Amino acid sequence: MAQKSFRSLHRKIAISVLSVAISFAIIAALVSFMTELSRSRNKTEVMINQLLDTIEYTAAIASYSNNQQIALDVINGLLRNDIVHKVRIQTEQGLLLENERHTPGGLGFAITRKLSSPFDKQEIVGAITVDSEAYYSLEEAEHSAVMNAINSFLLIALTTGLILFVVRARLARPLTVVSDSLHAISAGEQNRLVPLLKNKDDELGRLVRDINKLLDVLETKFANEQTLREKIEHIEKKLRTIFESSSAGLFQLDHHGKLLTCNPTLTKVLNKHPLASDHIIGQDFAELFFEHPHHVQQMLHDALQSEQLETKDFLLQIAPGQEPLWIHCLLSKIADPDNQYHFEGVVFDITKRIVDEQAMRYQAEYDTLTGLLRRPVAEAKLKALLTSGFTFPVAILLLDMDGFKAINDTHGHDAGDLVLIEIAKRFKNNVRSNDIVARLGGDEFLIVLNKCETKHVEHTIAEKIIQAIQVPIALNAHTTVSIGVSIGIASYPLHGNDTASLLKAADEAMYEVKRRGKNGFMVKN
Amino acid sequence: MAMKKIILAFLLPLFSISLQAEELAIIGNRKNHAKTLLPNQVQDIYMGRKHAFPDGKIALPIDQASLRSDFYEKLTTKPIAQINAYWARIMFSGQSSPPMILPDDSSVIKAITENEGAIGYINKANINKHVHVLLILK
Repeated sequence: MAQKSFRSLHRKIAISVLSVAISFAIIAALVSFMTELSRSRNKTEVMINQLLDTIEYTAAIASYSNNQQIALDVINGLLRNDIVHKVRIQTEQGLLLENERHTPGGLGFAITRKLSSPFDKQEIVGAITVDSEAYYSLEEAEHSAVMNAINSFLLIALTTGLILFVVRARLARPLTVVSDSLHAISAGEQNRLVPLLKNKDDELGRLVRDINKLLDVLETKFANEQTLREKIEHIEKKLRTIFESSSAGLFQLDHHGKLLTCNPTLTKVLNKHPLASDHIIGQDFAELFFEHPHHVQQMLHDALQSEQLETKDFLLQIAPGQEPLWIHCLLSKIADPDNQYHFEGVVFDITKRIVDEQAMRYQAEYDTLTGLLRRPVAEAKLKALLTSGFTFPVAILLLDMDGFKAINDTHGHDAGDLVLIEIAKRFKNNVRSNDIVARLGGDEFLIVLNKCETKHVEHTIAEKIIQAIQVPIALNAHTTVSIGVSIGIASYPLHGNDTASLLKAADEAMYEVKRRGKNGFMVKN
Repeated sequence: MAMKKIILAFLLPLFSISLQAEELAIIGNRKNHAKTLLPNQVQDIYMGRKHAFPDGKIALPIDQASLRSDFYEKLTTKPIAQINAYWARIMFSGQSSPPMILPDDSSVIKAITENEGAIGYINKANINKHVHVLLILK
């Protein structure tokens, strides 16, 4: 390639030099022709004049003496010269002699010389006229032009050859060396051009040095770029690792809520088969994963309006019989260059947290041993019931076990616990599903009966509870214990408007039962 | 004959040096119609340019050995050598020849008296009644 280009450079120079030189040669030949023609004419004129000088005296004698023979001798003598075409001698006494060569005439010039008497310069005795031989001048000029042209061509050929040789030796060859070695060097390599020894101090030497400088710069830049690229790759790798191995599901949604990209964790977090990753791209995010898609759609809507990071918990779609799964979702709106929006979000599994929360709440609200509501919760629920604007009556049953302390002392705390669990179960079995059953502490319990329209209900339930508690409780295969219960009953709004007064009334009724012999119930009077 | 004349023509100037100062008379036959001649008319006849007198009579020019160089020098202002050279060329062409040469004035006079068309030159001092003076050359 480079070789070919240099050949053409070479040829270009050769053609330029040749064409200019040939033009000059042609012009030179033409000029030479014209000059030589003119010079030859002048020379011919001079020569003819010299010839005339030579024969003038003889011609004058011939004219003077009217001597035909001498005149003819003169004429023929003159005609022996190549430059003479025609000679004519005319005497004053009427003699006219002329002769000419057998060549085409014309184009030449004529020189006439007056002949004066040999004895008296003043007396004109005749005239001699010589026509020049034009062809002689033309031939001379032609010859000269041709010789000139040949000379020029020889010189041109020599000069062109020399120039080409020098150009080749001093320019083209070093250039080829530079070009070839440059061609073999890739950017960023350590190889450099070999300095040209002969061209140290000229443009080529400078070119080589500059190219080497550029190569140095390139190499440094390439090295820097390489380092940068490695850094970027490293960072990218890290980010990819984070993206792919994150325990959180990462995703992008378009502004319609369709999935654009996601990491492999997403499907895992969102309770789908990992292989589904490829098929879920482009599908509706909300519909695809969530139990309540409209909640998610609402969140997208909010995110679009709010400019803030939206966070929410969602319940996932689950297979029948599966435990509920919860995820926490963070979502924010991202502006695209084309003024559109898309969403970026993170989801992570919070089922365990939710479960733990539920467990903690359960622990806080329910008695660990019996599974009944704790006192504060029960009181809060009762209060809520009383302040909810209900108009129907509510009955409060305060229950205290009879003989529980003896069982505890005789059979131990484990037995006590067993008894408490059993009686809690029996309480629950004898109330309606929306009634509140709570353990107030120790062996004291509270039952709140909703919508207790008539006394009949509370009495019936109290009776049933007393009956149920009286059934002996088996501690193990050999031992059974019996226990009783004293129940104090108060009614809303009959015995009080608030929790405290109602509990107090029920407590009083319960002590009255204890005082009267236990294991029964009494309504506050 | 012609050769002899040529040789004579070359030799004559050697003897004529002492006579140069003298005046020469150009003379013709008494029957010659021309009263006088102009120097160039004499020259034309002597140099072979004209072969007749102005009146048409054939002229016969005669040279004289002792006065020849003096005569030509007076007539043409050219040295005799040039005159000889001139004649040499004319003679070489074979078309004409120089005047015949007689030895002295008396032989010239004799020739003139005998030929009607003759013309010659002599010392002015030797003029006699038998000849007609055409021109005096000083």
